[in-house]
Amino acid sequence: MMSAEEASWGSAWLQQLETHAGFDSTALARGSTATQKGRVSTVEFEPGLVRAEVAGTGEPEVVTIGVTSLEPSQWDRLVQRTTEAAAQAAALLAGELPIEFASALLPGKGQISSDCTCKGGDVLCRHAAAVLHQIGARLDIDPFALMLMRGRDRASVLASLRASRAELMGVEQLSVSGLPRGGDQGVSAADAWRREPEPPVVAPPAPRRPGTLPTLAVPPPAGSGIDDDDLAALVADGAARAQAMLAGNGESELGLSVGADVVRRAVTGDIDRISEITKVPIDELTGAAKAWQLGGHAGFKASRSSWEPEPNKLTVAVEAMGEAATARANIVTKGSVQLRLTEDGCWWRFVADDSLGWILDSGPSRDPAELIEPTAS
Amino acid sequence: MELVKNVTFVAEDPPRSSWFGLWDPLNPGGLLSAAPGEPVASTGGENIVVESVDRSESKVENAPRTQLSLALPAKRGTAVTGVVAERYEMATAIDALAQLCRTSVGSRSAHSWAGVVRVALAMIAQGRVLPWVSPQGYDCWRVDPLGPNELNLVQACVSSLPAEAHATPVPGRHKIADPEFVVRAVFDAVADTLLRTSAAHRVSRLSVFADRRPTRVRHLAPWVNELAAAHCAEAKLVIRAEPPADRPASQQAQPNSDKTCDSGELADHYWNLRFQLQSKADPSLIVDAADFWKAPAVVMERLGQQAEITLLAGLRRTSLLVRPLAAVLDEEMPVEAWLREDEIDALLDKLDELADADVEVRWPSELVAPRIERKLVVTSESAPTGALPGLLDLESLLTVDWEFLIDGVELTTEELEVLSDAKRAVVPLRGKWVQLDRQTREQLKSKAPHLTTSDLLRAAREGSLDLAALTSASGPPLGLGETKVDVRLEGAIAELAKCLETLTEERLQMAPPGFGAELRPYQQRGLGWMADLCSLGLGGCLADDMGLGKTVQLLALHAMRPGRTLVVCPTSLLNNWSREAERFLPDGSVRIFHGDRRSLANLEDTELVLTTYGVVRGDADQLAEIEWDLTAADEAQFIKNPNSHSARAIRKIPARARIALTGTPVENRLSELWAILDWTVPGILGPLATFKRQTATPIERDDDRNAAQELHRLVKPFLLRRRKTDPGIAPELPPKIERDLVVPLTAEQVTLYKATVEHSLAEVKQAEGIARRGLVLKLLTSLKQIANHPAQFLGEAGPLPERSGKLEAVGRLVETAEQNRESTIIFTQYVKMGSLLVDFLTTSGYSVEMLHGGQSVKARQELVDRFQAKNLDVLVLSLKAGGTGLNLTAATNVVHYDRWWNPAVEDQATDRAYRIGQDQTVTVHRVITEGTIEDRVAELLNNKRALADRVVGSDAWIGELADDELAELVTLEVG
Repeated sequence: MMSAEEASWGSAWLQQLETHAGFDSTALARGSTATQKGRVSTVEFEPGLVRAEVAGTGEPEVVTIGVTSLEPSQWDRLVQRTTEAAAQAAALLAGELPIEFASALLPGKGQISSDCTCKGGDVLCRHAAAVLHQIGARLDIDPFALMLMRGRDRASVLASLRASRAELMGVEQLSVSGLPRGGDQGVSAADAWRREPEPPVVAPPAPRRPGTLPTLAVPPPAGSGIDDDDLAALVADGAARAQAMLAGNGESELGLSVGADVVRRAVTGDIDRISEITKVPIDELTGAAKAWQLGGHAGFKASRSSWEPEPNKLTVAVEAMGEAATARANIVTKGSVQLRLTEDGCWWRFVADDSLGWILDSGPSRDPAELIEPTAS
Repeated sequence: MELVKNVTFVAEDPPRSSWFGLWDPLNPGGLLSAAPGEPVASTGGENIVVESVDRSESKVENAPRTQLSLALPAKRGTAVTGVVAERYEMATAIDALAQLCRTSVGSRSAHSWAGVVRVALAMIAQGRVLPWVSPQGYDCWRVDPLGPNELNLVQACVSSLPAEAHATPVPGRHKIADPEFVVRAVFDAVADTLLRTSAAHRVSRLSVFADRRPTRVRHLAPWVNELAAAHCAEAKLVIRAEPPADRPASQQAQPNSDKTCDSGELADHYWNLRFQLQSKADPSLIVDAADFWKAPAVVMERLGQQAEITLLAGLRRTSLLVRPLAAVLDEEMPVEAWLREDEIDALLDKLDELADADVEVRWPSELVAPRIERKLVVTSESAPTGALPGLLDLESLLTVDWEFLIDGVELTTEELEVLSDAKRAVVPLRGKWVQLDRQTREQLKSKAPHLTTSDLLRAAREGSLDLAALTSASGPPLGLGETKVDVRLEGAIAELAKCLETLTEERLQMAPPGFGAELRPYQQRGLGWMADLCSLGLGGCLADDMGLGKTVQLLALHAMRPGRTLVVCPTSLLNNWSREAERFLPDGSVRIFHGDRRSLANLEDTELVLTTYGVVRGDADQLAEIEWDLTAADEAQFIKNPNSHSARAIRKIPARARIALTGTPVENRLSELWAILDWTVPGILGPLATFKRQTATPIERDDDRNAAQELHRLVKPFLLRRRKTDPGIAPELPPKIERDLVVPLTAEQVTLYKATVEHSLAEVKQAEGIARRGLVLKLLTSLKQIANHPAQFLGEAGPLPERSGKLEAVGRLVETAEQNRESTIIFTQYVKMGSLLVDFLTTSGYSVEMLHGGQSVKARQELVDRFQAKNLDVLVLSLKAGGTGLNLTAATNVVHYDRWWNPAVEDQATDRAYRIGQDQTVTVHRVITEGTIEDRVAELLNNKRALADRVVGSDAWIGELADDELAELVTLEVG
């Protein structure tokens, strides 16, 4: 993003702190040692302030760095200046922070304050110094954090820039889809009723593999609680179901219970994370997900539900399994193999697993004999 | 959902709260007033009749009713009318509409919405969704960005909507919702609903955009706007490059500030890069930057509001990537740039990165060679013996290579080297510039894929291959772009391809000498077809109608070929096969591999082995160790489920050729067709998932004629189906085909039979005269009843399934007949058995009635009329074919469930169907239980032995038999 001629934002920031913002360089230096920086955690950026925790001898200290926000009029002027310089506007919209813009954002004397729970006195304590260095490191990665510190998030600045550039060009604002921003203007009802519609559309065939959300050009705003990866996982799951529906291979799965849907998502998702967040024990989730993988919702139900069919429904399975087979409710067991009957009349084979209990091992079959490998007779 | 009703979309905010209202056009107010077909209203002298649709297929589910105001046709123009509609939320509607087949019954609005919903699914399946904030400030998803193809689809959706689909009123005089808005709203509603399954917000820390409950998120508006602007750019930057000395002298060029030459010199020595904007929706719309700066507002109306941003951002990225262009944005309104010859390299080196940034560099067309084409070349050496090797043998003799061409001329090795070594994206070759974009470079480097038998088959038949559909899933990476390539075949494989092309069903092949029957011409054609396929190392499916002689054709095939044949069939047909084999292969060795004492020891080189699906399941490994020349699967619908144990087991058995036999219309059930053909030639129709996606679903759900034709063409050489009604077949057939259907007894029947025989013979020995005759006849009746069904003998009403071999066989017969849309009549001597048959068949889902002596003439006539009108699948008759008025020519299948041992009487019964007015071949099935008295008597009748003369009139002759003759007749012969 930055060419070699420009200094790193981090060093520019620190430079600014020393020369213009009036921080004592010795005090600042104390925050620069690696150990100090390693102790800083949970750095949160918000409009006008940065909050962080620094590990100390006992409880972590909480450091708050306050930055004076730019006045709205100052922001307006800044945006306007950028609008008029095509190169700078282009850079900003391409995701880079032009020097001219950034210099206006770097805080000056009296615009930065620091506060720490360690009560280290008026001098800049080492905790606050460490946080200031961390901010520098962050700016190296994401210069737009500087914008946020001065009061506005990236998305809103870019929106203002687009609007003002559009005004400069004399263009009316449309909504993104190309449809009029004012909304549905409607059509003549009589004309609509008179028109003869074309035959129904034939959808294109399902793609070979489901698509994914593109990498977002603008990451979600900090503090919104929205994670790119979570959004992408959501879209991937929806795209996979849409592809299956289009191929005639599946349904929307919108009618599943919460528990069933958790299991369904555990089949392709990050099962450890899901177990952690939903608090479902990992063993239980793994077994259930295996069942879903083999037999879908029906397979999962087979692994869960127990019901009382008429005894004569089990005889065919008992015969298939041979001697020493025992029958209980809807389950016929022999050794480490089980046949279970679900209410739709399908049989499923389960095998015993040391850690996971009984896990589904086959797809459904109406004929239990098919699920058993016959012993040599 | 009653999809025969009208379906109107009602948009809500957020989109996932939208719903579909279903209302009855003939009864909009929910009162039963209008009669079907009556015009609802007229407008300006013209009647707008709202469609009335046959409702026989509608299903009713409970959905809340609600008042819905719609603009409907009224006396003059339209008027806002209140209708009572059932309200279906998006979640229910999505599944119902997505699954609505084009051939199913439904209103036109239902069908057009089904199409729209499926297009929405196609968008979502591509990942074309973005988070958004609704007008009222709620979190939602929308379908975006849409490229030119997608925009065309949107227009097609819009044109397909009938008025009732979007008749919700909108402020303004007599206006309803704009269909374009409504289509986009439906897209968004589908996306917003589909992504939010019940646990979407529980499996991660994400709550907004995942939870079904709406959340106010106005603070996210700037962010989603940015996303939309960034991802939905409607235009892109194009840099048009012109080499030096090509520029017409008349055009004035503006040099860069640090280049102090005059314009002429510039043109001579510098490359000119002209900046342009191109519309993504309409690629023919390109505007020079110079024209853009003159009138930005006008241009942006065509290219979109963000066009200027796109231009600047694109130039910014270009200036960072290409050093010599670093200063391009120093001007307020950049138009073009100039580069020296040595500087153009800097541009050429970065074409990939520029493409990533959506900046395209174009070159003058005369200077640029067309894209490099590639072909797959498959060569095979000829077999040393000179004979055409089978397909399976060919696989190992093949070499597969890539061949590259420019302008239709093949690239030499040196040229290929130059291209492969080139590090930049545009390379001079043969006096032109050749573009080596990423796709081409990948293709130059990729190894030729490995081709299996089925790939070769496809290549042979179509001359091209889709790399993405190759059967060997693991292979060299496909690279980008087009995956369909032309294939050139050389050598033996090319000859094989020619053979396949000329493979027809016309060649007559006579059965070899010594075969126990003369084949009819159509059977000779079937034999020729099978023989040709087998000699090519392939296989196929013979799907002739019941009664046309599939068995005899297959046995003739076995007789023709050297080597062992394995025939797999259902247990109940084993004996049929055995008898036919003995009849037609008098000199051949036949073995039944079934039962506890079965063995494969000492197999002869040309032996025919008969076995069952059950045995194959258990002994597949043992069977796989034998070298089989031919394997046949009878009633191949048994392996229609590719995952079943039977299907998997039978695949373990290798053979040079495989033939599947079935009487069901297998071309109508596509997954069954796939399973059967995939067994005959593995991989011939590609993987199941691909087949389902590209062929089965479009045909079955969308009624796609092209896909259907394509399938037919692909499958034609491997599927042969003749019907009794075919013009070529019918004249060859005898009008009446008679066959014996020999079935086994169940264990229960065997026990009863043996016990009865033992007990009665003892009694008979002791008796004399009339008493004896009485006992013998009683024995006879009992045995007949046991052979029919234990329930009949024991006086029970049930259970019926799986207790009688006859009943099971007849059940299957009726099933096959019904699938072929044929009607059946079943004769039985016993009313009791008749009603058991009716019970059994009714439970199996057929429409069946019984006609018997106890009914009035009027009642009987009604049944006959119903049957003749094809309203009954099966008619059971338990009377002695009385009355010539009984005309049942609708039946093409006649079943004698139990027999009068009197040919004349039987023929009379058969003649209810086989008589004047019958224009189709009638197949008569005589059901006989194996090893029982029925079997013996049938043998007698067939062989016309001495006893046959005495079998006339009634069964009384049996009473005349001596003890030992009687014993011989009734004792059960166990096979």
